[in-house]
Amino acid sequence: MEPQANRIVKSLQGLFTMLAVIICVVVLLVALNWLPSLIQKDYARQFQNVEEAKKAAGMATILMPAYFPEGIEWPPSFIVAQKKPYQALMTEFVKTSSGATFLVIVQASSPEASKQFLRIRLHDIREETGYVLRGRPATLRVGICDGTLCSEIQWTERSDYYDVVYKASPFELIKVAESMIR
Amino acid sequence: MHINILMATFLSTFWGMYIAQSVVHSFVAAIIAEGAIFAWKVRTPQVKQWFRFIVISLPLILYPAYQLISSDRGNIYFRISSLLDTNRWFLIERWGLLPIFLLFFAILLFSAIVFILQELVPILSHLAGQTRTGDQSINNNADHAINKKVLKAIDGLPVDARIIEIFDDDDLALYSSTGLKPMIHISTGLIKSFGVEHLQVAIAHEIAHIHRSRRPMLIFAYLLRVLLFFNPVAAIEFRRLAYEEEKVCDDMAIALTGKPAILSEAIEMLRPEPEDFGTGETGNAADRLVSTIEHYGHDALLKSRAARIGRYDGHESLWGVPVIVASVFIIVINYFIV
Repeated sequence: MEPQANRIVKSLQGLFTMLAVIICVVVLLVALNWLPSLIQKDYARQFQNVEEAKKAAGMATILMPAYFPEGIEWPPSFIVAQKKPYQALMTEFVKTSSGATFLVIVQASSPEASKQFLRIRLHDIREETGYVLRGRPATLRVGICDGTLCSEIQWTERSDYYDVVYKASPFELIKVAESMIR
Repeated sequence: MHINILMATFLSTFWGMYIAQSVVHSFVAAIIAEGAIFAWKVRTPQVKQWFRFIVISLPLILYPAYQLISSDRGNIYFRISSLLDTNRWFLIERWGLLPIFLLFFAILLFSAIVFILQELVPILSHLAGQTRTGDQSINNNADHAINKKVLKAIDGLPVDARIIEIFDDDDLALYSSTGLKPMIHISTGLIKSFGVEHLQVAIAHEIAHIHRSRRPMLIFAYLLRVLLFFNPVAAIEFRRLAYEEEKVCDDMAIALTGKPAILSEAIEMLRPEPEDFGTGETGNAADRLVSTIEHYGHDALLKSRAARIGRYDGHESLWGVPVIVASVFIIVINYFIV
């Protein structure tokens, strides 16, 4: 019995020491994650309001919709912006009734942003077509996101790429997108 | 396209994320494994080998496994709430606006070149050499006294005398070749320099290598390490695993002969002489430097092996709980490192 008891005690002692080691590792990782922000503040961060995000991203102009479908809340529920490696600003809007994200708008200086910044993604694209959005050539897609009908429109304006995804019909999405261009 | 955007684009692809994350995951796994070795005071080389093995093997499969669990792991939402977002480091622009990822990439490239030159080419040329000479009979011209000394040394050891090849060389050389036809090769120089007991423990060590090759963890680890040829952490851990193999065979030799002090002395006798460091090379200064580093490295390993045997107490470390707990922590913590 004695060696067996010894092994259990050794196991437990080791476990406690290991937990202390793991706490140190986690603290080290958190510090390593924080350190780059002292060196370069331009990497993607969350912001409380659009003005702050616009300033941080160094964007001269940002396009926001003037029209919001019923039930979609202003202000944005989640805002992320970055200046480097490319300028990007993403805003998310939730539906009042469910609290779930229904509308996402990405404005960026690189088309790469769409891969990184879209929380809602069209998984099953049922239709893709060219569309003229107030004189600008755009691509309109209709498909399914998270089991519901979803639409996406992409266009380029000046040197910025725009991507708007809305969990609704393309007609509603076009109204939102058109209201962004004044 | 600007180089930073190119880098960011590459780092958002499957292979970009795989390369970056597998190296960082290996690094974190190595720290956690060392932590476990420290926490449970692991001294047994077999148990240490398990830790080295999980550091090599887990990072190979962790990234694809995580992506199966959550395909959104690479996007900005996950990155913002992660424990460590490697892109925050990799995309820092310093030194003439080049991102740090280029420096990281240079380290991986260097690691890949070292792997090819130091590990792959020698193994392939060795295999080619074996193919060329495999069917040749052994020309054993050893004299009677030498044969008698070897037979005396292997008396009582679980080895067939026919697998021992004596070759004519004044250097102290002893090694085994494993595989379908295992052999132990001993130089005449070593047989002449070693006493019977020293020869016995040295042969017992090689028997242990042959015995261990039937459960080839080292070969399996090497195959995994080949897949992570760019990963410097995997390279270091594989070398440490191979070094632990020597210690395992030392322990087995002690179990076979019951002569730890003699084995320690035999290892001391195999250490290169200080005057050998950096000499004997016909090449340039760089060759001599490499030779010196190799000699120092080899000498340091032999020295620590001999010292360890001096402290050998037959103590068996815990292995089940430490290895499982460390693996779980490696898997969980690395999930939050992107």
